[in-house]
Amino acid sequence: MFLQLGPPGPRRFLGHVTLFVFMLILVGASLAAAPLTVRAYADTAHPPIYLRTESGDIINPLAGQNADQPYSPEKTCGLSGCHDYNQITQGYHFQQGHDVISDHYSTTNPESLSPGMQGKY
Amino acid sequence: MARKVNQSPAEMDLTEWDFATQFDPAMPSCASCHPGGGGMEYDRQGNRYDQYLAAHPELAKTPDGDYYQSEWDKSGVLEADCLLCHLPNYSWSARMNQLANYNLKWAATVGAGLGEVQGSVRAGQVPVVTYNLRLFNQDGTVSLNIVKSPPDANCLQCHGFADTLKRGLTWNDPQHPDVHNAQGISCVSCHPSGIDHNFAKGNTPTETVRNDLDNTMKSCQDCHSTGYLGATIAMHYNIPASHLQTIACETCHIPSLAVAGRKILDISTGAELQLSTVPGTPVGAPGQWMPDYVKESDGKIHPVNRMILVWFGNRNADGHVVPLFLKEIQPACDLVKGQVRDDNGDGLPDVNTDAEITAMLKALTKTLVGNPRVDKIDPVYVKDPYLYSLDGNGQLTKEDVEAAGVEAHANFAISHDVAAPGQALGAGGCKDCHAPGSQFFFGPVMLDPWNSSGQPTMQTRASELGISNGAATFLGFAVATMRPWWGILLLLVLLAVVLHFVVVGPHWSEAADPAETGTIERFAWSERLVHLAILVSFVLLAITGLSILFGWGRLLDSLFGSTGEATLWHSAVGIVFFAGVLFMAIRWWRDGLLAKTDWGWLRHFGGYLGYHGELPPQGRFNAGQKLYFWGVILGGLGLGITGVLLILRDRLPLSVVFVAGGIHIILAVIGVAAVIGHAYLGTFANPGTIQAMFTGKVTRAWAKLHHGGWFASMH
Repeated sequence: MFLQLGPPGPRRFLGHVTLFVFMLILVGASLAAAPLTVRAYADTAHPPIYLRTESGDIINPLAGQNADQPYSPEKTCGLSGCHDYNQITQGYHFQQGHDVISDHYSTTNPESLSPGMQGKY
Repeated sequence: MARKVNQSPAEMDLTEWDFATQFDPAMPSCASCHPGGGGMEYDRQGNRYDQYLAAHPELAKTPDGDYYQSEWDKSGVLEADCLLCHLPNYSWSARMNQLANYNLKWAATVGAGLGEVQGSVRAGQVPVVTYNLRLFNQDGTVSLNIVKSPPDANCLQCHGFADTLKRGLTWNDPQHPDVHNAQGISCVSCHPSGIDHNFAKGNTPTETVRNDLDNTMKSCQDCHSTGYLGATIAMHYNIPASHLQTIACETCHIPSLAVAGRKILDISTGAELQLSTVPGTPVGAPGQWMPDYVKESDGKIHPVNRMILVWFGNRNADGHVVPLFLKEIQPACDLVKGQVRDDNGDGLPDVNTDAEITAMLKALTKTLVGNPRVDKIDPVYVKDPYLYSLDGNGQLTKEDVEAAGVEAHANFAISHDVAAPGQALGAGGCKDCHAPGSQFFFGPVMLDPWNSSGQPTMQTRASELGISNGAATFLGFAVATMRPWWGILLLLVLLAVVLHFVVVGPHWSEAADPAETGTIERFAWSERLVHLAILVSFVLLAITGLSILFGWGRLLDSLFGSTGEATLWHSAVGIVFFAGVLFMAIRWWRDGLLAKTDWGWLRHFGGYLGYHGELPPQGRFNAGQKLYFWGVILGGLGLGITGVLLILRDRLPLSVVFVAGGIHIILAVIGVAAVIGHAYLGTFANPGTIQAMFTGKVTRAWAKLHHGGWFASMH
């Protein structure tokens, strides 16, 4: 019923044109949104990766390539430039005080060698 | 952690190699949780362990804190294991097993579930990996469900179990849920980090770990004052502003915990003994308990897990007390075997009597001979609240442990397991904390795990906060026990004056002398001005004070903007009131002196209870007004002094603040009741009185009737 835009005439024609343009915008927006959704998914899902050994060689057990070697997180995550292993491992969770550990860290509490768990008495 | 440079293995305790591997069969390796990288990959001179030891194999035989008795060259190193945090379902226990076998560089492969490992470096083998082929794509790549934000389960693999003190294990307790966890908030919502992986952290009162990162996470106020992530805006209408200024959010909102924390760490018997916050329950087991409370450097009371430390040390020549290694205590324990008894029946010896402490200290005096870490043999025993040592005659002496600068307890902040607002302390009113017998102030907390009779010495939480039990009880009486009665008292006074007006009526108005006409000045302008100031300030004080006492926060919010603003007004107006009372005291003290003739007036209650006989002529003030005057002076002074103490509460002992608060409330309520009576007597009960306080004048007939003595003296 809501599509009855009035009696035939210029006003009805303009009504149809307006409705058409509105639908066009809706369809266009839907199409535009689709690739956005895919991109958003691509941001969250980690792409397939090659596991690598400590020396940086690819591990491919399907091809018998280094199939008995453990993978190296440093080379696997950092070698291709995806992640800055050195920067990340400067974080406290990795250093645990090791970055400043010293036999002479504290004069008031000589048992403590750092401000972290690695060096704490 | 052992120093890098040591003269002998006797100086060393935990080496970097010990840190990485399972040095104690009863405990997981430190590196089970510490994710690799840093000190698990490079030594203290920046060399990669495996390569450097391979080049310098002799280091494993030297007392080097990085290499002593290590096998880095065979085990490899622990690189930072990204998937420990970023891969859901990462197997922490599989990683732990690899570390126990010295299979350091294989641990990441097994922990992520990429394959299995056969062989053990510890057993002298070279491990071999067998990958799970199902995980590999045809091109040799693997598709793993790696996530950007670590799931809570991954965080809690370490922060839930390994570090029970940080209370991470209570975050997702389904039987006692944290309200944030129940709303879908994750660990990294509050503890975010950037690419630097320095996660935002709160703080710990013990101040031991990366203090520069303290308080980098979002605080309660950050979310609950802005509505961040849909957080409820906390209004706290029924909570006094002083509480919000002096009590941390966590104190009220984490009233109890349901997983036993670590309460006691005792290494006095040569082994590490851990006892939980719930007696008879292992650390981490279910069990309801309430935190300890301490006042921290921010001036607020915080809930903490107060861990009691019991240990032996040696006071070196420079006065510093060096904690002894377990391996240094054990020989002394062997010497006194049979002399240290199990007094509390828990199956473990307790070093608790003077004789046992003395025996251990004397044994250590012998076993520490030749110890390279000891430059002067002076063993000490530390158990809160004392540090014990032997004097020159071998007699046991004790001194205050805090004065000695030695750590006998460690306070760990409690910030998880937040309850819903309706379950917070204070939701049920003041009595939640202040009622006599409430757990908050009067619940028992442990001071000494085992006294000389083997039983724990307990104290109240009030005592722990430095508040005397008497002060806590007194304030509790004023704000909790009497709180409903205060309202009833004021209502009864109102009812009494209405009844008096209806039953007795205006006072002797029919007895006024019609022959006396005209007016007479009763109060000077300065007296009227001061009385008006006192009147206005008292009304404001009563509105704000009673609203704070009875929790009428919405009224204060409407009138003053907030409870805090209202409290400021209360303090500021209180100064005006106090100044007015002082003025009155100076101005009217002579008029307030009681005379012999006042007894006759008082004996008949001034005729207010229906006596129609003759009363002694009264001076400028009648006997009742004199008593009221002195009541106002004494009460006003009391209110003023206690009010000033409450304003300065941050600088005073809490016991003083509590007593001042109790007195202030009692005087204030009595004062409001008295002022209701005073207002009635000055208006409805005695027509013609009130204008004296505005115009300064009363009719001569009124003056002759009510204050005959004063009237006569004016002629």
